[in-house]
Amino acid sequence: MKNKILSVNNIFKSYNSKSGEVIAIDGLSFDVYKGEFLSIIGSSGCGKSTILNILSGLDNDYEGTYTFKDNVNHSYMLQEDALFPWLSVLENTLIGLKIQKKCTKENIDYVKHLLAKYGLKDFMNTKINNLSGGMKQRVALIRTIATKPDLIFLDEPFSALDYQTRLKVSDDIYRIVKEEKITVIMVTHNISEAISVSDRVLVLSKRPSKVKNIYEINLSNKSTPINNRKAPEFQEYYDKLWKDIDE
Amino acid sequence: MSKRQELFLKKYRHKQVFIKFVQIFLAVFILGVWELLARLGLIDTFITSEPSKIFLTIINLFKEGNLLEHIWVTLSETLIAFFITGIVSVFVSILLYRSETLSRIVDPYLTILNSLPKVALGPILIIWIGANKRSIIVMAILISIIVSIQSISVGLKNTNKSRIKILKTFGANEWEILRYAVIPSNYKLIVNACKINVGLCLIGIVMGEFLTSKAGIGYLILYGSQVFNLDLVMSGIVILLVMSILLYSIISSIEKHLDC
Repeated sequence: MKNKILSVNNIFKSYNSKSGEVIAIDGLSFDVYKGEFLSIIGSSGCGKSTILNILSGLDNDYEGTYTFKDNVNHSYMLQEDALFPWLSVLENTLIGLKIQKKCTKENIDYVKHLLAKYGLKDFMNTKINNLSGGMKQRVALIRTIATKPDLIFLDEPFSALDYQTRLKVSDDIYRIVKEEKITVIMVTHNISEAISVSDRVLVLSKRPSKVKNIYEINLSNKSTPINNRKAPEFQEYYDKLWKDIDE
Repeated sequence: MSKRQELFLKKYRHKQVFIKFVQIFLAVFILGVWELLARLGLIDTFITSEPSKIFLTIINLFKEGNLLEHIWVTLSETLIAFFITGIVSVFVSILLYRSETLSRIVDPYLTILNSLPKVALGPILIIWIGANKRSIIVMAILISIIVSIQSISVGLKNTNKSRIKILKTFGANEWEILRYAVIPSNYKLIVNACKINVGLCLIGIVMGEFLTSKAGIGYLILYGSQVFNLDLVMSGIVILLVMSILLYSIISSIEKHLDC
């Protein structure tokens, strides 16, 4: 696990507006290791999404550095499914490949294989609006991993869903990223979710945010996220994280 | 099917039938009363005309052989104005979407131009462009294009930000973002703008024909009023009604075929 895939060094980010400057991130540093599931949690408005925007290259207006290991390919999944309702399920999942001009027969077959493997085989030609919330989120994840990324960023991927669906989808997504051996950096404000899916949880301080604490999550009988919630250590981690965020 | 569902469907169907019936009845009633009052001599048909005469006038215009030509003149001018408006307003809207600064610069101009009664520009158009078809078409474009630009550019700006963000994370360039997210998100809005445009263009063309023309339905109406032939005036209006219904329904049927 100690194979470093990304290191973040001393990131600083502020938002400037007419009414003044708000420092969102001040001196943020951490490392990410290959194959791990890292969650970043913090109170709302502490700049969690900003971190993902910077790391994914969407936001270039910051100070500090981050370095990916050579040839690391990354992609992004948002809170809203942000699918294209005028396209079919298959066309939606191919959009990344299309933009990156990698729509080869082989890659298309890979995406079809993913859709089949994760229960969407019969829905390939269905329009998006005919799917349930959970299925949409699975389509969005397959779109994210269709380009075969080594690392994916998840920005509150479950928060638009109702509680039942949310548990189920987090199980689904956990299974998929583990099976496809993808490193994950997930941003969330939900403590239970973070503990149940993560190998490590990084707690951000209130604004301006920096790393407050990093916890290795060691649960006995670690299995699926839903089962992990029943682990004896779960409550202990919950209390610790709760205190950390609240302080 | 449950009793309640059956009852619901029955009520629903009754309501549909009732609405259609009243709609048709109203038209027949108005025409009937008009015709009746005219026949009984209670209204002066010299200034009100009457449905049967309007019908006969239209038939006669057909037989004399130049009605089709008038329709064609008005229709072709309308379609030319409509296509130019559509293409230019989509193009300008994309420019305004791409540049927030440009959009903010031109915003007050668009608002002012929108509230200017375009018909006031008629005399200038005739002097600059000449008393010909071109000024008529320009008049129609002026009437429809500002509203069209405003509604389309607002739609483009309101495109779902998450969809754009997703494309950016895959490395999409501006053109790909337009092609995969912005334009398809706004198909419906663009078709709706077209529906409004086709009506406005027809209005503009008739207004232009009132100002200067040698043919067209607007010319027929104006000519009719000058020689005090109200049958001709009313016939022109009826033909315009039919034309606007047809143009509108063509675009509606295109909308139904667009899967969005």
